[in-house]
Formats: sequence, structure tokens, C-alpha cells
Amino acid sequence: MSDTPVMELRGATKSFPGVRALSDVHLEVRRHEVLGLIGENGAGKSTLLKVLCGLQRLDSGSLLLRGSEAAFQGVADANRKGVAMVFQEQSLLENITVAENVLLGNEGPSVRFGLYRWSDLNRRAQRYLDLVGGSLRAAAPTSRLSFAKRQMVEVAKALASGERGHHEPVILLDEPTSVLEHSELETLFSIVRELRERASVVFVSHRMEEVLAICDRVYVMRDGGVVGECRPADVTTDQLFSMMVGQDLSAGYYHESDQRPAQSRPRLELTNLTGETFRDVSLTIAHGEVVSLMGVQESGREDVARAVFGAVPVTSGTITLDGRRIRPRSPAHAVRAGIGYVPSERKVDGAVLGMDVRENLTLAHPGQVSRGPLLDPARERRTVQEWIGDLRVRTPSQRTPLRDLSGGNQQKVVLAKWLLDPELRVLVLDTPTRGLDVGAKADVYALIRRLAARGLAVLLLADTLDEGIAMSHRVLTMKDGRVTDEFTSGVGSRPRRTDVLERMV
Amino acid sequence: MATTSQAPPEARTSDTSGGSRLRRLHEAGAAPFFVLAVLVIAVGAYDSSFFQAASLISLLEQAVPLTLLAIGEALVVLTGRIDLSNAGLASLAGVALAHGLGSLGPAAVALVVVGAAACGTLIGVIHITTQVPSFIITLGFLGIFAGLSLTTSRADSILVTGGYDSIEWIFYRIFGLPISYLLVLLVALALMAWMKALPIGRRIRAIGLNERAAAHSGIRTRAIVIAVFTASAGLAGLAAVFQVARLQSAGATTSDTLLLPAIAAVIVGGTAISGGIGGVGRTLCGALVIALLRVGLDLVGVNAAFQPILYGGIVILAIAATANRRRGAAVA
Repeated sequence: MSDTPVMELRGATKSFPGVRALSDVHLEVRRHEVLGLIGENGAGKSTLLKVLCGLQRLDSGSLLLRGSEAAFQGVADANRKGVAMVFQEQSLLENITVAENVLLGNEGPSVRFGLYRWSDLNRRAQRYLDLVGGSLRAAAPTSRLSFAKRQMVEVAKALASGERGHHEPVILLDEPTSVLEHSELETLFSIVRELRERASVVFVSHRMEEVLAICDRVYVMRDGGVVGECRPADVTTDQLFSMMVGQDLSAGYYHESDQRPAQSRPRLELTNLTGETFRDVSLTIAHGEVVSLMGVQESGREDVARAVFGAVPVTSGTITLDGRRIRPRSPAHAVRAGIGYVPSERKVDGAVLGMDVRENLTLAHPGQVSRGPLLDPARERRTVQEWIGDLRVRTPSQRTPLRDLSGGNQQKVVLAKWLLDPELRVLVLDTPTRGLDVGAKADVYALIRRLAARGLAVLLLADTLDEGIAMSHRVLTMKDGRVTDEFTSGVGSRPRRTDVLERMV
Repeated sequence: MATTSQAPPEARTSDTSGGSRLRRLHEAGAAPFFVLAVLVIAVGAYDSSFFQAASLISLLEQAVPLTLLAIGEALVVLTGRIDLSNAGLASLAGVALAHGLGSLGPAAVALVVVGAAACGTLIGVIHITTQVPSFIITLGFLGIFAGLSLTTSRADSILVTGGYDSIEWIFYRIFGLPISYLLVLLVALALMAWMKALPIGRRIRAIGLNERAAAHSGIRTRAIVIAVFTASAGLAGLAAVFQVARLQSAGATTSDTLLLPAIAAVIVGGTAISGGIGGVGRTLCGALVIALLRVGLDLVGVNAAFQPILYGGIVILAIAATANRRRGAAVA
């Protein structure tokens, strides 16, 4: 690996009005490697990618392509020189075939006298699709494909664009995993590994697990600069995490040292709970216990969680809370029984974005800031201020509309909405860290630990396998609507990922 | 590494442009008061006799039924819904009251208001259980109410003779102030206090802004929506009482023409048609703007037949100017 890097940035600096997006960045992309770029939102990853793919030009510093200085005139020019990007937002056109998409703007000899030569077009496109795998057919209409398949078409398209030059291409993947399911993720990873044989890959993500799993080398970015370079084999999640957020957190990413043993008294018990998408689900969560329910998209785990909260109907089976049987017919019932729920779609189900921080925080339990039936503004202001301080919600004021806050801070407000209730007994968390920065994630993890220590029963639907294992006292796996297995999980004795995964798929 | 600030770049570029500041001012409800002031000055400049107490008081008295309908409409609109049936219900309630006053006296007033409110409950229940958009349900009920008032009044205007004394006092004046408008103010203030001091106000707004999130916060969204339609219909019944008191008669279509002005008053008052933003106080102001507009147009000599055209135009323009064009925001 001593030959010249395929791409190199030297002293790269880029500013936007009011922001220094990149400052003095040095990095190199080597041949046949998967290079990881990781950092929190706003760390400069996206700007860096845009510079690499020709969407943005540097203010100062230089971009070298195969050892000589390059100045891209735009994405098409970058493509011609062998650099192609798979965008975060999918850019395929739905109303044309896969082949047309793959070679869009790159039809070359497949168009003669302004007319498509379909057989030639399909043959060329199929070559790239085969490279990607996944038995994609060139002539298929794009609208028929699943999201994951489209992502694969995107990669094929990038390959096709990148190979217009006469060199091995550089493929840039901008957070390609943010919307993929676990099984789809594995497919993407195997594609990336394939790609490494014939190209260089830059893989951008804010999920540490993925970067560690797939990359040969990783640059960590923070505040517009590269703050570290490492090989996944040499670092732990905790080390990577402290590099990303820039502070040495003794507690670690998952705050594992804060895990307290659960009490023996059961708090929430589901017995043979059956609904439309799940059957015979039985589980017990004790006081102070975090149970994570793992499963793929169709496993039925979301509906189990929603059934506890009264948001989907139960056909048979019982729910027992602190020894008393409850039948939550609606979320309103569940809330009055002492159950809180953080939905996975924060912006659709969790937060009223048009309302301010204060109103969102007190929406579920206004009684906590009332005197009799009347809202007590002074008490409300004080209580909200306490929670803002306690959870370190970054907001200009209590009256700031929630839509103006970052995702992590919105999620903290959604969580605090439940914590306001001193009688809260059960908290159901459906992927509470999805889409959050690692810093915000760590805050949420710390909070979950604290709530468990307070005696709450927490049902966690984790976003990633690692999160589910590290955060819980017990891991339950679900498949096709049934619980398939149970693993105990404690500090120093966590179940193995592969064992858990095996029971999910 | 040149790290100048701890805050991530995104935080530093947070958008504080003039556009959003204007929107804040709009959300705070400043616009209708401004419009009202401009209109008062304009009408006064055209005809200075407008500033005499008599014309001001008659303006307030004329605004009474419109204001009541508009306030009820505003409550419904706040949840992201609309009530097209309230004016029709007011006509029907007026006919019922004119029929009942002679035999029942004051009890007829209470019966009519409660009966109207029950109609609203029915509308709400049907809307919630069928999940049919509110404008369809209330449009249907508009037809039902219109038919009922035509048949019960035999398409004729009913003169109130017996029992009129039990409502006549509403249009008396006390220390020169119209009792009718003072009562409306009382109703509005009570509703404002109810919305402000109790959690119900923000629950209603939460439903208008994000019904799913509201339901996921344990808010009983169905019950609140039904309550809001009930309130709107009850206020329509009250408007009917005021109409009968003022005219000493009731016709099958007496209040029908107030539908568009009432909606215009809600919109001009600065309540967002998509729900969640607005309130009772600013609707009071919006109703005065519409009433004043009507007086102003009469003064300038615009044919009354043209006025509905204007209200229609106002509604479309005001909604177009303030609409949130992101798709999927409105509920029904």
C-alpha cells in the first residue's frame, strides 16, 4: 500500500457564511480500501464528500486525484474522472427502468440518433447490476423495487458513472445505511466488500458499529476537522466515541457501569399476549429492569410495544402492571395507568413540532404543573427549567418551537414528557436513539440507566444489535410474531451478537 | 486543529431571517388587530360620523351573531377541522325558538341551546366513528338543517309574539352599552380563560398541529374533537337566540348568510386553517374586522349583493397567503 493514494486532500478548507465547514483537513483515500468517515451531524462529513465528488470547491488547500491536482467542474466532470457518489437521498427516477437509471446521463453508445438501443443499454446496465449482486434485472421498472434494492441500483449507477474514466473508480457512499433494515444492511456490506476488489470506497456514517464492521481505516471528524485516524481492529467503541464527541467520558458510550441489578419484584407482565401481528408473547419486566426486544422489521416487536401502550388492539392474553391486570384500550388509558411511550417516528408520533418546548414537556401530564384544575404558569416554568437543566436540553428558551431544536434535543423533550410523572411505572421505548448524534445517544443511554435505577420497567426496542445488548438486563428475540429466545445480559456477561442475531432471522 | 467554538456548525447557522420573525409575529396574532385599526381609521376618514357612539354601538350589535358563530368555528378550526353546518344550525335553532317561545317562555331558550349543542355532539360522533373528513359531514348536516328549517317554518318568516319579553332585554342597553355585545364578550372571555388556564386549550392546539403525537401523549383526541363540535353547535344555538331577540322573528334562512363571513372572521383573525395556531381572542377581533368591512362597504355604497364575493375572496386570499404548503400537514 505504498503507492500514491487515489485521492488526497491537503490543507482543505471550506467556509460557508458564518460557518467554517472544513478547516485544514488532510486525508487520503488509498487503492482498494474501504475508508470510513465518521463524525456527528455537523462535523463536516457531508461537506467533505461534496468536495470529493465535485459539488463544492475548496476555498483553499488542494485536492489531488491519482497524484495530480484536480479541480472538478461538477459532478459530471468528477464522474468522467472516476469519482462517483451514492447520495443519501435516493436519486433514482421511478418511472423508468433500472437500466435507464443505471446509465442515466451516461448512455454513450446505447443511444444512436437520439433513440435508445434497448438491447445494448440493458446489456451494459446488467453488467454493473451483476457486479452489485442481488439478482437485479436491468429491464425491470424502478418503481417495483424495494428501498434496499434501489440502494443497490444506486451503487450500480455509481459504478457505471465511475467507470467512465479509464481508472478504477472511487465510490462515495453518503450514510447509505440510515434507512436499511438489518438483513439489508448485511447485503450492503457484502456489496461494499465486493466493491473493494475493483474500486476504492469512502463510507460515511454516524453509526460507529457499522464503520467498525466494514472499514479498513477510519477518519474521525469533529467541528470541521479530522481529529483522528484509526484502524477498527485497534479501537473500541468507547474510544471512537470519545474521539467523536471530543471528551473523555469515563462512563463510556453505553454507561455500562451505571447498570444496577434489577429487583426481584415483577412490574410489567405480559401473558400469552396475542394481536394481529404477534402471538403468545409472554414476558416479565421487573422493577428497575431494562428488557430489550430484538427482531427484524416484520417480527412484530413494534406492535407488542404499541399493544402495551394501548395503541394496537389485543385479541387475547393479559397485561399485568404491579400485580393489577390492565386492559389499555387507548393510549390515554395506558398513560393514566403509568405507562409512557416514545415512538420511533419522533417527528410524526412523538413531538408536536409546532408547539414550544414548555408545552411539549407538559402535554402528557399537565397535572404535574397545575394547581387544582388550573395550570400554574410559575410552577410550569420552574418544572420545565429543571428538566431542561437535568437532561441538558439545548434550547434558546422554553418558548422555542420544538421544530427549531436538533433531533437529540427534541428526543430529550419527548422523553421528559413522561418523566414529569412521578408515578411513571413503565417506559416503552421504540428505537429512541434512531437518527440521533452519538453524543445525544449517550445522553439517552445515561437517562435509561437512571430511570431503571429509579425502579421503572423499561421495554426497549433497540435501534442496533449492540445497543440492545449493551443496554439491557435481558434480551428477548422475536421472529414472525413469536418470542424465540431469551438471553440474560449483565455487565461483563453480555450475550454474543451472533447468538442473538441467529434467533432473530 | 482550528476548533474555534464548541457549537456544531449547524447551530451557528440557525435561521433567524426576517421571514421567520414575521411568521412569529403572525403566530402571536398581531395581524388582525393591525387590520382592525387600519379599517377603523379608513372608515372614520371616509365618514367621520362613524365615530359617534350610536354608529359604533350599532356596529357592535350587528356583529353579535357573527362573532358567536366565528368563535365556535375557531375552536373547530383549531383542531384542524371545519364546521360548515353552524350557520344552518343557527337558522334552524332560530325557527325552533320562535315556535317554542310562546308556550315555553325562557325554558325554550335553554332547550334550543342544549338541543343545538346535542346536534354538534352527533356531528362529532359521526365524524369520529366514520373517519369521514369534517367538511363532508358538516356539509351534509348543512343540507339536513336547511331542509328541517324550511319544513318547520313552512318557508315563511315566523313572527314572535308570546314570550318575546323573555329575550327582548338582550338588545337593551345598559349605561349606553349594548347588553348583547357585553354578553358576547363574557362568553369570549370565559372561553379564553378556559383555553388558557386549563390544559384543554393546548390539547386542542396539539390535535390541530399533530393529532398522532397528541394521541401518543395520552390525550383523548376523540373526546376533545366531539367536545369542540358540541361547543361550536352550542354557540350556534346561542347565536340564534340573539338573532331572534334582535329581529323578533325567525326565517328559514336568517343566519345562513353568516357562514362565509364567520369563516372569513376566523381566517382574518389569524387562526390557521390547518389547525393548531390561533385562538378565541383574535377571532373576536377578526369578527369585528368583518362586521366593520360590511359597514364600510355599505357606507361607500357597494351593493350588498357584491359582499359575499368579497368574503369569498378574503377567505381564499388569506388562506393562500398563510397556508403551510408542506403536504400531509392537515388532518381532515
